[in-house]
Amino acid sequence: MVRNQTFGTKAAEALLIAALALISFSSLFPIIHNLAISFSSPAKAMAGFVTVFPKEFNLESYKKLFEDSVFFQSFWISVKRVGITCFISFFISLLMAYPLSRSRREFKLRDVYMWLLIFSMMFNGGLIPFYLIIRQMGLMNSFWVLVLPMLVNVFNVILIVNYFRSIPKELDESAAMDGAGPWYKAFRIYMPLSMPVLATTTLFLIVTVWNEFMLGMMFINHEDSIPLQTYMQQIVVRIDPTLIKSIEDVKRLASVSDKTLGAAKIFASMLPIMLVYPFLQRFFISGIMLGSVKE
Amino acid sequence: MIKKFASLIFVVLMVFVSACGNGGNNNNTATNAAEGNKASNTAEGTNTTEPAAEPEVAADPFGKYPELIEFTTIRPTMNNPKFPEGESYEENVFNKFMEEKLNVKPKFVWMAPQDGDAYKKKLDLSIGGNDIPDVFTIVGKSIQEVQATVKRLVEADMIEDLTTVYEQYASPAIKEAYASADNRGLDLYKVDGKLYGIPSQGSLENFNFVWIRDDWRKKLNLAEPKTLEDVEAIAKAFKQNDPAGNGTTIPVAMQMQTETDGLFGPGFIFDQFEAFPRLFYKDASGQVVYGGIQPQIKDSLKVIANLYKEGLIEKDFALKDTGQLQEILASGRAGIVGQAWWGVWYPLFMTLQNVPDADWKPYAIPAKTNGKLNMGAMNTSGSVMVVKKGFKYPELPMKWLNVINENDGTEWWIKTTQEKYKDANEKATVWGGMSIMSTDAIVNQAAEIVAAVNGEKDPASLPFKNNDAYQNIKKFIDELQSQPQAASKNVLQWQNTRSWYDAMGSAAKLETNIVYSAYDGQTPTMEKKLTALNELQMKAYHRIIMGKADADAEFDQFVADWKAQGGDDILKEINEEASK
Amino acid sequence: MRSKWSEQIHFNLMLLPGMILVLLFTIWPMGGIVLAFKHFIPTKGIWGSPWTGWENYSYLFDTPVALRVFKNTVVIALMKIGFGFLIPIVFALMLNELRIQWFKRTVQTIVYLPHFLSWVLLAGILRDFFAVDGIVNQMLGMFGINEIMFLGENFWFRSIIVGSDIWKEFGFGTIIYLAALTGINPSLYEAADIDGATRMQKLRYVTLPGIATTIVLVGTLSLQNVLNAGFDQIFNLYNTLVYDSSDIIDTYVYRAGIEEGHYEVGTAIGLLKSGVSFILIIISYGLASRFANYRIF
Repeated sequence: MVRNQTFGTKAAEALLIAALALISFSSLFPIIHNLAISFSSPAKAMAGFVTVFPKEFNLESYKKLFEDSVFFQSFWISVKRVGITCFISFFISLLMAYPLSRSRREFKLRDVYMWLLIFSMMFNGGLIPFYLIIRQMGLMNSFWVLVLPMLVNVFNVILIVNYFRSIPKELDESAAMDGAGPWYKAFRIYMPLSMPVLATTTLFLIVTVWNEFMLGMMFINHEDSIPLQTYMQQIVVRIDPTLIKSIEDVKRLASVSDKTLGAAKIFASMLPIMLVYPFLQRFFISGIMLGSVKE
Repeated sequence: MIKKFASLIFVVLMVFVSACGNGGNNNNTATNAAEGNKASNTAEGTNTTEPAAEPEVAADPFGKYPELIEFTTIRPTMNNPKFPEGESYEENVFNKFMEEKLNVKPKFVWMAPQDGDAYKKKLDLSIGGNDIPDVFTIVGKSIQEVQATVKRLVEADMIEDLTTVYEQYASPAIKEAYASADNRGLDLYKVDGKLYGIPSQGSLENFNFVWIRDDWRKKLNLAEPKTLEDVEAIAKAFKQNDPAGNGTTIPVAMQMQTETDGLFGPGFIFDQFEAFPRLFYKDASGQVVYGGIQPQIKDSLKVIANLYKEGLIEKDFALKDTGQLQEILASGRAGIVGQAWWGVWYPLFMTLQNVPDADWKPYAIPAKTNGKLNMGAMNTSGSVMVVKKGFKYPELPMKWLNVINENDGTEWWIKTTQEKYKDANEKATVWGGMSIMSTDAIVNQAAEIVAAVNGEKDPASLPFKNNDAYQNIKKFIDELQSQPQAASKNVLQWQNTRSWYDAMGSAAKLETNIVYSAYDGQTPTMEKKLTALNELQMKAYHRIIMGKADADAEFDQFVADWKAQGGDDILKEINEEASK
Repeated sequence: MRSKWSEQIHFNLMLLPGMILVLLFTIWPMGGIVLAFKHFIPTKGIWGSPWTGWENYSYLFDTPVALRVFKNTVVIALMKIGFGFLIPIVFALMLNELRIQWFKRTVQTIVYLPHFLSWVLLAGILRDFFAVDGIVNQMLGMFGINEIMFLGENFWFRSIIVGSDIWKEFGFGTIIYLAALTGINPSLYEAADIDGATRMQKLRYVTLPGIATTIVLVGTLSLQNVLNAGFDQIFNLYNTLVYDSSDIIDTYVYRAGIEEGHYEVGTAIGLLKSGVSFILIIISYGLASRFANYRIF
């Protein structure tokens, strides 16, 4: 009976592993394909001959990529932007989440704030009023236009609130006995206990900020200060051949349709974000915090 | 719960109202500012007439301003252009040239890539925020879209009426160019009879040619095609002999995903029957009709359906878009494709990179019905230059375009473009390099080049802009006579020959029949229903071609549906507008 | 109790920086929502522009295909929400059961990657994959099944749309649950072990209750997308043959070029989408609070 069960468990686990391996491969395939294109010759890539292995292997596209100063400039701006946004947002979200995780009894205006946030998450006034306000605040062409609107992410705040609510009340109460105020409790008790969710929200924010391109497109007028994804938006765009009006357009089309360089840029722009998760994963170790604090 | 909700809603409203209040204030200030502007504009407006009254600047289309005028504008940019050392969009020889000629200098408020929608989106914001530059170009995916933007600007009183500017300042060459299309281009951007923008205008040269893999045709000892039946026979031979190997040959590469006559589409077959599937045009009686529901369409569809039945077109052609067609063409599997005269410049040259001895050759097949080379022509004025209301020199862009139009064919201009700016093409360096061509410009140019190559015309008399093509073609043809060669040996010579000499040359020799679109705007019913009607049309066409329904019954049903679901209303609206 | 008032003040202070940002960048521009019922004239400003009533909505509702477009949007969005909600939970639980740590981590790192790829790129791959001469049909051919035009038939197309979206996003979706799983108190598992609970029992009585609040929260918030069926994906994959099953509000609006000439129509459609989802979220909040006495937010 016992043996049977372990055998059954083993078999199930083997099956599970096989299934997961298969799924992983399917997830990896597009990236391998893209990588293979980036290492192939443009002629082979354009003809759709490349699947998993590069055809006519060469490094031409990466050589061109390294000559592209705008790419690296915008890359650096994106890194700076993500770093600053995540740093500030970490504290702002934490500060917002703590009072919002209190009950209505403890914090009178709690529901008002909460619904205001949910309302602000769901509705938006459209681009033109947003533009008018950005202009009025003098944020046009400023680096901060890339940061400030991204700082409060309501979804993330709600996630943290939800996690805070699961932390046993006794901890809070015993700290209050020792005379701890809300600021102390937020930073010294709730923050260390919530590393998994804070890591998650930070990851979400990194991903959102890294991929956001509209702010740079709309509010930054100089190519040398746009973030990477705004720049990428310009190159991965599908050029519509039906718009060809003259032979000049045609020649231009022929010169810009470099699929291999595009693939190299896609890969390079994804690389940092692909590495973020494995790095943050160490905050996902289950239960250590709670276990250690629990008396 | 209810109480909580009530208080919540109250707070939300409070915030909202106060926010709106603020917004309102802003906008009030904005409006005030705008009104202030307007007031000063009108003051400036009177000023404008004053300098115009001065004799030195009186209506000289090429007149140089006495002192340097800087005007604000915006510009579309290219993808990663490489400028010569020390030059940029702001500082380059073309801008200097324009400054010397007119004493004017553009200042760019912003630049945005022309591909994708960055330029359009930013322009929308500038318009919505009421801070447009002095002069700018409106671009769009369609004429209707550009028209809508112009209309909105006029409605908001943001742009200048250019009627008199055009009358007084447009150079004779430009006026002639518009006249070659009966001023259709100008008519598009008139509101209540007043002209609000200077439109671009392309030449009408995009006849549908049948491009054939000539190396395959020769290998199979087939004669050059003269009729549609010949083309079908060649396609069948390609199918039987499978020159690409392994059964991968696609005898006729074709896409018809959303458009009936797009790139790589079956346009050459429709032309054979004088059928113009997406055109509103005047029939013999002067009535505006829709091409897509005419009986000729059915005949064309039957031909395509037959190709499909015989397996000459891909089974899933309806799923392919232009990108996938490019892939097929580049891979060297395709035997026949419908494309414009410039097909070798893109993407057919890619075939050569994978199959070095491939050779594409274009054929112009006159229609069985009228013996002519038919073409349905949409209006080619897809972008327009406008002037901000109150700008002191509303004639400036007109002069700018005059000068460019006069000079962009000169030896200096072309040489600088081709040599100094090899990596950043012409459009990347000169602002507002909008072409205003006469409709027969390219056809005439081709006729001249062909005549020179054939020795009917003295090559020395060719204008400089034709030189390059002439030299390349001459070399290609001379060498061809001494020894047969692969096209890829000198791609540039081959491209020039196939496009100018073979395609346009043969078109210039045939009698052409250009059917103009009778209406390029958008009636109210079109705005709401045309997209659905177009879809109805595509669906019926696909069903007929793929043999899913009886051609006659399906087509009749489609025509009835099309008319009932808004088509008749649209035609009525157009005819009413046309008779005004 | 003397600290009660000062605590309230501190709570408000803590919220202040965030709320200022929300007011400035989200609430203030919301005045622009009125454009949904106006004809915008830039020189007159948002408030000075004339009212037009429901005119802006007529571009969407007056077309012969309006009904189909709405139906497709809701059906596709609901399918995506439903499966996109369930599968990450199942997957997170599966990973949680795995004993081999390095394998678990590697799998999780890999499956989240497709989230970062654009639909332009993925659509190209999917089209090759499901083409008439593509790998799927070749495999089916080995079993003697005739080739199927997957992307040209309504039945298959919608399944592919939903399936590929799930495939792209589920890995990213599991992260949230993995984080929630780490919050479960290990002593609960120890206690269950002492009681001799089987793996299934532990899953049922410890793990699931432990992440229940997260599940409810994510499920509720995903209702935001009830009218967002995924423009980028469908736009890059669809064609005339399958409009019947896949043409959604966003693709129709784009194709018809409505937003190009009419800025307000975009606002109007946005308002419609937000309004519907907001109502749904309020309903689910109300249901949870009434029947489970649980406040989601």
